[in-house]
Amino acid sequence: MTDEKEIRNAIGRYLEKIAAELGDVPAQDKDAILTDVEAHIYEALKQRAGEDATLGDLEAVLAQMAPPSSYATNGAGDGCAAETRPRFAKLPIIAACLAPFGFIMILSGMSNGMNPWPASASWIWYIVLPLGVASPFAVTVLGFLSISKIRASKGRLIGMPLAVAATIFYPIVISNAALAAVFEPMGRRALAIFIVIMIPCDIALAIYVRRRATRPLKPGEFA
Amino acid sequence: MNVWITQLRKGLLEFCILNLLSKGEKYGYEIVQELEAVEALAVPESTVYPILARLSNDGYLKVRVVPSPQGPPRRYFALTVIGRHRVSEMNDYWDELNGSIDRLRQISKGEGND
Repeated sequence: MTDEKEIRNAIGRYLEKIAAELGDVPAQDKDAILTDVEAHIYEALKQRAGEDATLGDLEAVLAQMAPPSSYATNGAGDGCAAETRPRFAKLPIIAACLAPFGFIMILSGMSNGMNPWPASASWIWYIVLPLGVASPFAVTVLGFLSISKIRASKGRLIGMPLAVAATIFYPIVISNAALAAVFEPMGRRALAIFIVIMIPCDIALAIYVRRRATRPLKPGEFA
Repeated sequence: MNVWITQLRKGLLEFCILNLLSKGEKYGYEIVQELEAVEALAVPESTVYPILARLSNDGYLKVRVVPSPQGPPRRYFALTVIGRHRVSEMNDYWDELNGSIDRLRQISKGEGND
């Protein structure tokens, strides 16, 4: 190549423009794209002018290639960071971590009265108590928010079964417990009938919420 | 150009690239040349290279770097095991979709003639 240094500089400037257009694309992807484009230019140049390419040949090659500005839509838009593998949503995980505290609080309180831990470990109770009280509300709200976020993410977030479970868990547990408390004084038979009726109802509710949560969004509909 | 044609081309491009590579490894320039030869696709390299980067990231393609005496190294792309699985799935879906759309168009044509 007779104008080797000028050619290298001109290619460098072209690649810098593409790098600027790629913007937020992760550095690793940006490097890969730039290496491919640089190799592309050299291949095209070699095909056009063999070993003695001039600056004019390079200009002709670059003129046939896509303008750097087109990488702004293709690189970032089609591309790299935006369409990586979906990740698990954080909110349903937080909800799942919070959910047991309500039970721990109730079971501890039922077995030994308030603050069942020995004096040396009574601080545990002061952690469990507020988390336990907040748990039914927080888990339900977090589950509901998770469903909205996962739906709105259009596939970028996963974890819908856990989000649905978090949303319906405490409403089902509390409503079943309340109804069981009503049926329990009527005798064992009434309680058994209640359980036989409630289990399919709970399953049907879970299936209904899951279907509602996973149905595709209509145009203009909010998640 | 119609927006829907642009969107359709972009969607098909991943399918075409993976099918191209199902015959064996190819380097970037080679892939772009072969895609440019398909007139109806007419995609520039600014669309192809980001997709190659994404497919590599997603684990569908593996990259082999071969040093070149002149210019930067050539990056050869080949399908991974999950890439092969993906092509096979895409081809099955394509056949199914193609058949269904053809049937739909036949029905529409039939109704139009009535």
